[in-house]
Amino acid sequence: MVGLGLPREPQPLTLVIFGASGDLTRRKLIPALFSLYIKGSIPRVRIVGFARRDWDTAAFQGLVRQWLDGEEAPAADAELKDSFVKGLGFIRSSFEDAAGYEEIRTAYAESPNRIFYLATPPDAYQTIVEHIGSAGLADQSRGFSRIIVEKPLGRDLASARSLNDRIAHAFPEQQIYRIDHYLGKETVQNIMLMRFGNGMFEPVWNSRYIDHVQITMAETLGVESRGRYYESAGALRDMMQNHMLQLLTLVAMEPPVNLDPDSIHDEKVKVLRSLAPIASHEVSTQTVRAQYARGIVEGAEVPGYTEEDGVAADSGTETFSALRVSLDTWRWSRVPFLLRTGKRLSRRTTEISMHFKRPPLLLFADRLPSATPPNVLTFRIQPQEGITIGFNSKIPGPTTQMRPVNMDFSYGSAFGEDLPEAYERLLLDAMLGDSTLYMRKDEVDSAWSFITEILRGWDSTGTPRLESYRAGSAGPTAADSLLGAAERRWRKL
Amino acid sequence: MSMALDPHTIETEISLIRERESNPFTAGVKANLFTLLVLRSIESDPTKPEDRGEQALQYLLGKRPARIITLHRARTAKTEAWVSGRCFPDRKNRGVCFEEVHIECGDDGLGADPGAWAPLVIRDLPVFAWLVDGMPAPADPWEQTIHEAAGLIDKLIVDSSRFAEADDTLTSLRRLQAAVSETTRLADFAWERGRVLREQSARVFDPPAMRPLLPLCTNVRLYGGSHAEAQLFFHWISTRRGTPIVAEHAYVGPLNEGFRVTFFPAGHPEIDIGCTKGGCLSLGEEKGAYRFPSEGEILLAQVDTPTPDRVFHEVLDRG
Repeated sequence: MVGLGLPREPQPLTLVIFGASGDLTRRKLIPALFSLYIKGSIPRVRIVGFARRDWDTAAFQGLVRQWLDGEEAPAADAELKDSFVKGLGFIRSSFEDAAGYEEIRTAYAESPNRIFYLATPPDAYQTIVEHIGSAGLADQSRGFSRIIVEKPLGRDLASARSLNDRIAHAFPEQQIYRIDHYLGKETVQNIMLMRFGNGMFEPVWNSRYIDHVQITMAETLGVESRGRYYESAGALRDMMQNHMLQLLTLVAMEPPVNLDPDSIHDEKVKVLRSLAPIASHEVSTQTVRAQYARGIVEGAEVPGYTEEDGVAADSGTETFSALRVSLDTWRWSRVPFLLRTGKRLSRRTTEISMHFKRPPLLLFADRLPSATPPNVLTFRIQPQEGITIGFNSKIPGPTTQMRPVNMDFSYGSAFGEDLPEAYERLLLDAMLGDSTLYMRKDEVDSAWSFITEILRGWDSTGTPRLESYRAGSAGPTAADSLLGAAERRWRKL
Repeated sequence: MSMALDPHTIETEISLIRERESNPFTAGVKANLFTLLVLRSIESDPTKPEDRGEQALQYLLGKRPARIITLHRARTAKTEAWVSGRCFPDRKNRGVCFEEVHIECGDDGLGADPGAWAPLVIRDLPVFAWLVDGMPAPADPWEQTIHEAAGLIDKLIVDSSRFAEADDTLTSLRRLQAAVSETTRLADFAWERGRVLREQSARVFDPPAMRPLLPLCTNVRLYGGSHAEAQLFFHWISTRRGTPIVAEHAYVGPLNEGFRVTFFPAGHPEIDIGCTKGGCLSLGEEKGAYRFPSEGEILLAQVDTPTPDRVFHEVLDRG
């Protein structure tokens, strides 16, 4: 009816979660789906767990019911929780067993629309995708069929392409949803809206006014139970290749011609393709890698990386990496993008900060500390999502002294409702067929192309050397060498 | 109630305190302006009425809202933390509060490690560290703490009058500056107290007729003030002259009780500057009363200006 805004609601569909017994399902997927359920966003979605565990549907339902009482799940009445779990299905099968896939077709035939969520280790992807294809479940002749895959999407350009090819064997590109949960966060989505939905930012969003950009993704956690996986990944593969470069694309991209997913992906890919490659002879000056040593984080003593379970005592894997990146575009010519990510740092924070150039004439140079950063616009992505603008102001009284002050927008205090979890938005988008917040194949390829060059440089030159940093610190001081100018400083963690 | 040094618990407790202070009968609480780390030695006792650190903080209370994190070396085995709040209403009934985290740093080494309390420092606001009880010895854990936290701290405030007299003030200050990063600048209570010496001297030598006499003053004598205040003053004179001087100092009392400076220009009569609580006198002329800042006033000035004192750093670099 004209004028009546209807909520976005997916068509009837079956969502099959491979790896239904895993941590991702428990911590992220089920809470997000339950949150959508209690909001009435997915009334016609059937959720089916697929795992080799010796469970039946009732056992799976019982387990999920327990998960819903955990702190990850949104608070709700017991009746709602009961009705949610009552709709859950379960298929007990190994990923190699064709019968399990046949059961999807026969036991859950009420809807022709299907989404397959691979919440499994990536080495299982090929088997699962092949079986889905063989069972004809990727076919879209009666309804849609989509697949959602989690990182890591390869460990270099060649393996990423190979993985893509294998998935593409069964699913055409339009049916593949490559998830990067950071893109589902409100503040990340807000970068584009703020840039292109306001008149005041774009005019200064370029090399004429911006001195440099910092992107920081700091964790207080160590590798936890993922030591074995992390040994083969490291910070560059685990965070930089996906989350960090995705954030960079949103900050640096040109305005898309419209809001179609492909128009946005096109602009993001342009950014990734304009990344000046860091060649082997440049890795020692444009990259830093380091590993955390024993220290104190959030009030507790924590072991060093090499003391973690599943980690070799002589491990050379980096838990911190920092890059100095350039974009060969008119807009960003000679503006360094400084990226850093690390584990076991002093504070958990993800943020993007735009550091403006100083005024051309420093009338008040002697009234400001030299180390004070010039104007900074910061997108706080987590925690305390919001935006801060830092500038300098006169100290009240008979003086011309200045001090830095902040203007703050905080989602928590500006809007009454809690921010939705990233997975909630992303799952709903996949159900609705909106891939804007997912990664397209050429984005993944371009990101890996850039990162693989660095990995090659590290391997071939053995530089930069692996630094050490104390757990609970702000990372290695060697990262300062990337700043490139005496007055630049990394933002304090 | 003491609690483990868990930043999440501490932040929750602080939020509750702020919430309590923002009750409907008040106009809310003012936003914090900075974080002040107060580093106390094992002998330090903030509960004593004469404690200078507490007295200075009392002066700030109600004037500047801030988070105060006290790191107190303790004789206990385990590190423990307390959270409290002190508020003072301003004229519009808004609370001007101190959010206070008191950490008793035990032998477990937890409190001395910046990793334990760095998450409690408020981001995007200036961070000051104040060494209340003098200079840590070279091997003292506080110096290691300061070194490791240097990236966090914008200004390290010390009082060189509380350094051991046997030490050369400038050497000690330079050692401290070297222990922190270049971006962390030092400020010194002794230097601030010595402002009266510098201002009165500058007044004497500022008139064009007097300027040629300053290079002739190879000898300077100061009665009053601490060893450090005297040292800083003599080094300041040296940097103004461009050459060292022969200096003589005798402690007759703190500067605010009065002092006498005598310059000896070669071939000219000596120049005397004397100040008492009643006022200053130089070259036989009354120069009016001079107000000595209290410890609280000095601390307030320091936390109001993240800017380093250019002249002080010139003296440190060249004196």
